[in-house]
Amino acid sequence: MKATEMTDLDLDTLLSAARKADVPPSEALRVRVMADAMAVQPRPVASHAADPGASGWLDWLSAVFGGGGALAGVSLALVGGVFIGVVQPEPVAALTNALMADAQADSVELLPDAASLWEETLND
Amino acid sequence: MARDTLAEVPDETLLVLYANGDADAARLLMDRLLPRVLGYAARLLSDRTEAEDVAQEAMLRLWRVAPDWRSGEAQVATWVYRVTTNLCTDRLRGRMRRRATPLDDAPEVADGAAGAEAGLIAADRMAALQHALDSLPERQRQAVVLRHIEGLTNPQIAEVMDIGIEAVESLTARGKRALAAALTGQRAGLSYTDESD
Repeated sequence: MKATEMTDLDLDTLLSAARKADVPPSEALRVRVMADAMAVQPRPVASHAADPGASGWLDWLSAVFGGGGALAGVSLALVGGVFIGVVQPEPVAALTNALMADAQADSVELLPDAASLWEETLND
Repeated sequence: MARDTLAEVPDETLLVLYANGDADAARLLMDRLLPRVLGYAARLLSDRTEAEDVAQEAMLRLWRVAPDWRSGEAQVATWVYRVTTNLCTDRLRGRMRRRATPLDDAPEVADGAAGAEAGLIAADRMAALQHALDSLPERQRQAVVLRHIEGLTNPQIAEVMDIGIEAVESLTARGKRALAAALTGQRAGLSYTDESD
């Protein structure tokens, strides 16, 4: 082998030295890379918790009725009752008439007439 | 999560932690990968500024892929090397389009007398190695750098370069022979005469 030729040992030594030769990133590069990392980092999903002050009364009412489901049921019944009372749908009116046919009255006298009291006094 | 707690955590876990909002995980991942990516790009491009741009871009692509990272499909380091390889290839092809690569522009290795001190000799050797690497065909250079400087295994190189393991072995063997040939004639100038003769 000629003295000018690189031996395997020479080459391995050279490559080994290259492996150990660090290429340290500059501080400027590190700053740029971290800025990129922070810029594209996924953000945590924002909580949808409502303002407790604004909905506190609703939470309290739900607790009274045993939860949101029960409160919804009660609310539906309330709305239904008002609807029936105001609109008086035909089937409901017919049912009411059938049940109350014998007890129908145009007026009910809750207090006796004052004149009748006067008459009793005179009779005595 | 505290950095000392993360020290032993695998790259893939750090990537998941980063995707979940952990800034320390990103910093540690950067500490691990950036020097390797930068060194690799610098070897392929022979240009520090371009290597820094490529390293930053490769890391940016890693940050972007983090939320969609599929566990077990690839090693994080291998993935980054692959991205870096592709980015360097694009840059080198861009250079080729702009001008014929002037190998003669590579720095001349200083003669033995000028490199009397050990530091200078080491610098001369690295410059000579870089000059020789620059003279290799692109794929041979990638394979030699990944195998003999970055220390990747042949299966990892196969994944990075998207070729078979036999092709890797062939490229690294031919690359190393070409490297030795490119350095022939510089042996004395690199002070190997004093050590091994």
